[in-house]
Amino acid sequence: MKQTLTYQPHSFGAHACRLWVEGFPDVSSGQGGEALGIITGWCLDWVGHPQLEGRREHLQALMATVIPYARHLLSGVPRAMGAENDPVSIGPLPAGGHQMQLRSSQPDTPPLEVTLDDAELADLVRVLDQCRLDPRIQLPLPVPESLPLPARELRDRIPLRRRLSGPVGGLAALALATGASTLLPTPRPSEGPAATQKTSQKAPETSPPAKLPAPSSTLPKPPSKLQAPAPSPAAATPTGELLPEERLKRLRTWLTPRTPVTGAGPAPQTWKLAVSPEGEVVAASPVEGSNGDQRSTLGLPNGDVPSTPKEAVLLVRGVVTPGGYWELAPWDGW
Amino acid sequence: MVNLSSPVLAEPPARAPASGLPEAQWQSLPRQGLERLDLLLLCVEALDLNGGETLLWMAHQLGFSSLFPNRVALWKLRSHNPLRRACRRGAPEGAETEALIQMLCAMADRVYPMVRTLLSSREPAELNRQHWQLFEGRLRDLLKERMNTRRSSVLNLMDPKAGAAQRRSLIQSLALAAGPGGVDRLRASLMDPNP
Repeated sequence: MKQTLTYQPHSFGAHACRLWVEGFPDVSSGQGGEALGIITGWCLDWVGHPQLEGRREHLQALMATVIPYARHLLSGVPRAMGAENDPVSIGPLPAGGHQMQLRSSQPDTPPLEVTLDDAELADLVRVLDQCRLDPRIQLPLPVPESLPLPARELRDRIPLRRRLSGPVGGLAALALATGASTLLPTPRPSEGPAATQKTSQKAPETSPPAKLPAPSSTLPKPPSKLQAPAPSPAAATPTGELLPEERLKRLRTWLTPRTPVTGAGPAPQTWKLAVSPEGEVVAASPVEGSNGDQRSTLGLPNGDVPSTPKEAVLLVRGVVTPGGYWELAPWDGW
Repeated sequence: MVNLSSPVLAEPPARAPASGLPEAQWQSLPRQGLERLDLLLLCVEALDLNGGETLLWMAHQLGFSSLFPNRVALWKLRSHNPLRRACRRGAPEGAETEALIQMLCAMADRVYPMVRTLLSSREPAELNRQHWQLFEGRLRDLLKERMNTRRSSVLNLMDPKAGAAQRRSLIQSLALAAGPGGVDRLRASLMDPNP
């Protein structure tokens, strides 16, 4: 027996929108009474708009387009739903309101355009909700599940100026900080070590060190210009003496040609080296891993480092690695 | 024509609005969701003069008497809105927010004729303007009474010009949240992440 179900936005007063759904109970599935298992047609009657009619597929397309559109509107993100080839599409109008397009399955039939205001859209959503949730309709009318929107869809809800204010503010702060940092005077590279050297030179005045006695005339002869170039102002103290770093650098240059490069390398061993202001080893004592028999192999002078070295001599710990390289560091005791 | 000063009383719903979410999946709302839910309830109260009592009556009708035995319990739950003059810390439980959402949808269903009148462009312009003035006046009074008016968002909502779009958006939300299918839609929109 044919059934007709009626849906209207509310249960009192005049109605601007009314939906009729017609069909039969699916007797083969055991349905009876008021149940509707087969939809034969539907009709949407609107005040001020043409009457809409269609089959079940059209009703389903209407629901699948309008319900998600309402979901997006509720989040404040009006977004057009439905493609150009879909039977139903709906989108917001710039001047307010909503434009719905209905495309007939009949050939050569132009699409029907319906302009809705917010109240008419709410009416349509309500009747469609009532229809899809009606327990008497016992066939599926699926619509996309209502889920929270991803954050990227909600970005448009915030005005562009507010969205850009954060990144632009951050960039401006970064630019200001960079500009301010360029105004600060940069310390010259020589200032640090020179100041350190000055301090280390001033220190003996108050507490005379035991290690560095007064200079004597027995210091080795300064090297020729080819062997050791004149120290640059940055690498020397005001008295013309080389800084420890520069002395170590020259010492490395002095040691490199003396290290054997062929045959089995020397055994790992540690030496205590006395380095002249010109960067030459003037005395060497074996400390660990050697009894001094490889002195000539390593190109070191014969004399041991005296227990009280001369003032201008820099004591250096030299370690010969298994590969035959020297690792040099200032002598800091046993 | 609907007179806003004498709200139309609809029949109470026979059962709770349909909610497709099982109880185990009820979640508490993010901060913005709580703010919006409370503002929507405030809009309902602005539309319905006796809205506070009706909310409590609706809670009993929907079977939420254990959650909201009196007005104080309802007020305490709504005080989680950070925009309130005296707001509570922490977040309400999922069951409480779900109850509040269902109550709001039922209330929106009840005041739907008034909401529709406000949104309709087919009403006479002068009458529509008067309806909006009445609603905005009541909403402004409620905001002054209950919300922290030093907050910029509250001030913006009370502003006659700057807050017009937001007030319309709230009314539109009520229209789309009303009815049996509005619960799922409203819950999903209140759970939207903070962009």
